[in-house]
Amino acid sequence: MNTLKKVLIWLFITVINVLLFWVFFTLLAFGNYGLGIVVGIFLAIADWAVFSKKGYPYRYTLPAMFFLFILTIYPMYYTIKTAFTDYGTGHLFTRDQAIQTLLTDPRFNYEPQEGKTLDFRVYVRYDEKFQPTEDFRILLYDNESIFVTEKLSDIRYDSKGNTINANTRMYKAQDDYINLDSSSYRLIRSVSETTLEPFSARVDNISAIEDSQKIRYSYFYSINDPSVAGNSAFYASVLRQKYIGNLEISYDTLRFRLSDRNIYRKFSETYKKYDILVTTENIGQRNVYKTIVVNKLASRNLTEKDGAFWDYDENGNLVRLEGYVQDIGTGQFEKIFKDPKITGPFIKIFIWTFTYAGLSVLFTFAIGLMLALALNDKGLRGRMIYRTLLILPWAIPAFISVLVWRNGFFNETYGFINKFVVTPLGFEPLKWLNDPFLAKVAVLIVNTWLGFPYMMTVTLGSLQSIPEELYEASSIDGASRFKQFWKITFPLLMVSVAPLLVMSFAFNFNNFVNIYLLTAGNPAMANTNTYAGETDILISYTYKLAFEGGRGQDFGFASAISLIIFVIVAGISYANFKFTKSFEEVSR
Amino acid sequence: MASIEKKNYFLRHLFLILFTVIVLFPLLWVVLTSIRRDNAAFSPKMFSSRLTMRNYTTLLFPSPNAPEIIKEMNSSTAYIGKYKQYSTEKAQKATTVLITDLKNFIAKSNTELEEISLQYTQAFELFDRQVLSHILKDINDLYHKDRKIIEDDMASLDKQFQTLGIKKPDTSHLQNSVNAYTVLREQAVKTLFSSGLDTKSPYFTETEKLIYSIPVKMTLWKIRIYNKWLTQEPKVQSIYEPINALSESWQSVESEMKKLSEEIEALKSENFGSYLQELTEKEDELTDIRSEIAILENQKNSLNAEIFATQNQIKTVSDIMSPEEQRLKAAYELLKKADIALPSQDTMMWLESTDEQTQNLYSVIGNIERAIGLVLDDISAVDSFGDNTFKSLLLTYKEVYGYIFSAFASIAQRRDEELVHPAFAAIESSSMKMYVSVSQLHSITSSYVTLLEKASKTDTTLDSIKTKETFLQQNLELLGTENSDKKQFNEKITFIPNMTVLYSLAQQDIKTMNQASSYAKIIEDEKFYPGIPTNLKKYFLFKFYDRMTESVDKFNTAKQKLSTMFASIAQQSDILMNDLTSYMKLNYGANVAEITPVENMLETYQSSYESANADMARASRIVSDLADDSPYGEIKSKMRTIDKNIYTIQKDWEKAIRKPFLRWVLNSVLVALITSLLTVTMTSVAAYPFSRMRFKGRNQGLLFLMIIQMFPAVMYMVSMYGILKFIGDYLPFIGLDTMGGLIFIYLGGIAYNMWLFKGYYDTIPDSLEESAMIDGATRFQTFIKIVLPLCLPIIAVVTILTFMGNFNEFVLAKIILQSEDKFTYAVGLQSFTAANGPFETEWGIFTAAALMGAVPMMTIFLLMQKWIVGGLTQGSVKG
Repeated sequence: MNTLKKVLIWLFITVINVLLFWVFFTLLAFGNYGLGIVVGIFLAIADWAVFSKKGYPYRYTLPAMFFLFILTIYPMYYTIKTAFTDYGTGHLFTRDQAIQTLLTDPRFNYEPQEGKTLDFRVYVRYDEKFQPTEDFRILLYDNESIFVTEKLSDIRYDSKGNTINANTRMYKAQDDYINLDSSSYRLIRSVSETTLEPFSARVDNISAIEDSQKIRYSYFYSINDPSVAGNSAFYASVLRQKYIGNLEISYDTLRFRLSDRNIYRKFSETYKKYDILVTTENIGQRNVYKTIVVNKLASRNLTEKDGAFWDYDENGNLVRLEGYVQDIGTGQFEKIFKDPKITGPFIKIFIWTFTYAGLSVLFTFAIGLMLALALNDKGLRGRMIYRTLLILPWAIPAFISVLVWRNGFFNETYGFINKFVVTPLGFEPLKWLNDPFLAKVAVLIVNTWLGFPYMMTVTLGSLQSIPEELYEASSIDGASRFKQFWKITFPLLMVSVAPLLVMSFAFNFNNFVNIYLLTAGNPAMANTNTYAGETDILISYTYKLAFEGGRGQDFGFASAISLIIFVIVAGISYANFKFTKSFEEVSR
Repeated sequence: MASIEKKNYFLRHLFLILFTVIVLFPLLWVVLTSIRRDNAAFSPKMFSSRLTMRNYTTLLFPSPNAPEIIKEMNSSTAYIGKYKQYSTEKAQKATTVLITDLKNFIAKSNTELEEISLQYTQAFELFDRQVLSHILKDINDLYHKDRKIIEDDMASLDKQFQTLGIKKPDTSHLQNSVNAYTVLREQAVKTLFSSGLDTKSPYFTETEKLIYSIPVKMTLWKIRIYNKWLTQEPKVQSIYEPINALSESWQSVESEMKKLSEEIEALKSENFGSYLQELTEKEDELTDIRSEIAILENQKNSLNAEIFATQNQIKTVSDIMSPEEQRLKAAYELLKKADIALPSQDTMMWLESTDEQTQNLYSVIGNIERAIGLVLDDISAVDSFGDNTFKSLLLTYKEVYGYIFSAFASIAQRRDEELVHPAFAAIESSSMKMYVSVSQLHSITSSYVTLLEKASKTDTTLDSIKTKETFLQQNLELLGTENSDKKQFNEKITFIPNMTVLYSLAQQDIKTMNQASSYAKIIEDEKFYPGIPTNLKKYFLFKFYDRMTESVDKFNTAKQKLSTMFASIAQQSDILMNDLTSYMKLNYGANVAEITPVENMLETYQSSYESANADMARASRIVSDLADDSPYGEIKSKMRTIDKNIYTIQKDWEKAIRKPFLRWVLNSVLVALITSLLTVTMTSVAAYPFSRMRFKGRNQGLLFLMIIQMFPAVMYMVSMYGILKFIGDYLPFIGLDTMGGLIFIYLGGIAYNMWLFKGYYDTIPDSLEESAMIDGATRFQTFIKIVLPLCLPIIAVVTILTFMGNFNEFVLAKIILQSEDKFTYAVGLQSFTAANGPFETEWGIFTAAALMGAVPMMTIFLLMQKWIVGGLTQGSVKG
């Protein structure tokens, strides 16, 4: 029993080790060094914990540590790394991927002017239920010969399962026969007349292709033939979409693809425009190998600048082909301080973030304190009922409340506030979400509504812990209630509540949901070329830069702002820790 | 002392109750809106009494309604969507089921239509039997009040005539003729009712209304009613004469009214002539000035639009120019350094000797220099440019180009020098690039300046005219206030004839609903006699019967349309059913043929439903208004039933847009559940050594956990996206837009839970484990067998809290999930509120969906309150 258990444990450890080693090396091979190193370090720690006696306590923490490493430490590294690159729209791939695109993307093919062009017909194998399958052959023809393709090979897919490339060869038919080493094909004609003129008429009567295993491919589709137009849906949405669109057919040294120039009605000779070349550069004493991309047509090297490959078009203009991510040092941060179209909005957002967080804390605390004082009286009947009712805004998930406020209350045309409060009082409907000032008011109203129950609850808790004797003693000394509040209640309260206020500030500093769901940061700011809005706080600005690409996504800049937020929040938290000395608890 | 305490509590309660009501109002609104039957977004009512649970059932038990079934048939017969892989038999079976469903809908709706008709009939019967006597009494009460108002008005007028010493015009002639008219009216009504004609006929109603209305529009009646009626009922002849007589009599009343009016006008000009003249003159003048202002404002607006367009043009040019600024400046600096003297020889002469390209460049530079000078002149005339960037840009250009132009010959000659060469090349390329736009700039700026001048001129004129207007208006008001009693009196006496007519007519009580409706029509026309204050509500009772009739008419039209539509759809579905086997074979095997019966069904639905729906909506609106405002209980509930039944038909046949709500909830629950279970498993184990053992890095670890819990996951959004994008390329099930990816990301939030567990472990005494270990258990065994069972409560709490947290998480889900059927509840709910989306105003559905998410979460929160509050205040949970 025990032996079995031991064997199983060892087996488990081995499997995990192998797996992680494989992941580690694969990541390095893919060039994802960051994640690779994180996994490597984890592997080292894990093995040490497992094999060393001293590592015993760490064994418990390994699974949690794994996720902490990947989802907390690595993201930090990732954010920092990205902040120093131009990662974003136009610079989404690594240089290698960009080169791959240049080599494989059909956009970078060319069809020689005097190249051969072939018409085609598609023949499909039907299954036993007479449904067309995805097994097909293509028959290509010009004015003298007929070709038939072989089975597809080398089909490659992207991550979403779309075909990006497929290859096949085609062979010339001799007297309706094609004889290959492994198999053969026979063309079957409905009318056995092979001397019709023009040549295409001789093709029209080929109703099927049969291979040596007697598998029959029936005539299915041709773009020029209205009689099979009913099949166009299957051809376009399945066959062309999945295979033929990206198919390269080779015949000797010739390569054919569905012709862009003939609006995909024919196959024509098509070749890659670019190729790679490895050169050596002398840097100091060493020779450094570098891959460069060459335009085969013009036999010239592509220009590389601004993190992209450039080439000259027919008119001699330099055209951007494909961008890649590159390190730009502190460029993103310089942008914040130097580009006038960014600096202005950024400073505005920065100030508003602080204002928003500060005012939120102020309002929620003021209202919470007021309510707590009202409720902090054992003689008050029904205080549990009040407390429960007043805590409800906190109990409802914030995103739901915010959506309700936005849609039902602040909507300019239909919203409750305009319809039943503002207009009946004789005012013009207010532009809650489109006026810079009113939008800010709306955001603060909602955030106060969401936040006061928390303040009420924590203040109430602290109030109850203030000893009664203090009040008794002071009232004997003749202190008024007002004086009692300012001299006893408030100072004592602040001792326990102040850190929470700071935390609340830090929370609101990053209160994305409220801003994003209520106003989405709108109304938009004038005079800026990023996506800044008047009610945006830093974190929602980050989000919009990264994910709402009206003007493209800018992950690099978003990360740079994330870093700034990191620093601010870390500062606030550190100060708070120092202040409350929560560290002491750690070393207990 | 005790009494003061009590008073305090009262105020406190008052404050708390008020505050609670205000704060909880949004919740109340959500609840009440979610069960409203009407569309809250478009309704002028805050809350509605028309309630339904339909919003909930649609979300929770989505079943296709009739039009959706037809669409589904379209898919099943063409083998698209989920029917793609079906065999003919299977698809045929599915289609048969659909056809049966559709037929059921048609049968159901037909029954409902009949049912509603029946209810309308019952409503009318009920009205005649029970309501009529009440309503007539109530109507007459209101009617008498109106009469009293006229009486009072007349008395006060009499008094004013006396005090002013003016003789009151004689109204007795008019009174007499009205009395004669009234007698004839009674006769006409009597003849009508004794004629034996069908009182339910719409012609009858119209005729009765005509008799009671003024003026008597005889000709119109003859064409629209009498002639048509005559073809059906020869008996109608008997009423022609009395009505004709009535009409003639009314004409004599009108002529008397006119006479009286003339008399009054004469009276006015005799007594108040000069005042009235001044008044009209001033009023005319004011109207003139106002129209002038309107014209000017129009001009101003179009000018502003032009100015804006020109500004944009300038901006475009400046966008072309500003990138070149740095380059030119640099070139300029270089040139200065090269110490180029002004050309010693004559530039013109030198130019002739040089090549064409250089000559060309020289003229380009010259043109730019001139253009910039001109533009600067233009611009400095305009204040609004002040010292903005564009102006400074131009100044730079002026300096640079001024220099280049004057020294051009020297520069060009020395262009092969080290310093000069790059500068020259830069100048050449920049100049060529900007040449076209800059040469146009002057015409733009000069027109801009002209426009601005024009605008300012218009503004001045406008201001002066506006002052005039204000002045005139004040004048007029002054005139009015000085003579306010005169003015009022003048206005009042104009209405003496109408007043007299109304008063004479009002001597008789209202006997029928048609009479009531005619009266309401007269009064509601405020021009006839503005003395009686009207508001829509007041005459509601007078038109009660009318509106019932309108509602039933609308409903009947709708019924007619719907029945035709149902019949046609049923017929088409029969055709489809009969030949289903053949139809199903048509499209099998990737063929695309139109299945005509289905196409026809879609066509019929699309062409006829909307108009029928509009009629139904109107009918139901009227009925619900009647139900809301009616003081008569019996008919109220009938109206409610009708309204409700119409609503059912509408919901069965309206075009529905559906969202996979249940799917979202399921996704959310799955993600939150899996995440919380995994998190708790990992963290409960991981927290143990932190509580029980001492090892290197323990303090740092705890500190680290405390610090990272300060950073919300939102801040990692870019990296989370990047990580999933990367992983998804190799492990598609944890990529972007997958549940797996979301769960993976959520697993990062374990720091906070570690502290919760550690805090709880700290409260469990070591002695239990120690004794177990003495008995030979390993550390791990004691943990599993002793500590964990003791910790079940905290495990439950953390599981629930994590569940809640992940269920409520929005941002990461929003970033990661992109396709609608993968949304979590939070992301899905947001899609209900998309601006300008189809659901922006569908508040019923939205609030129902919101509430269904909010209530469970709220309940959990309230139950777990102690833990949530405790955890937040202490940073860790203890015992």
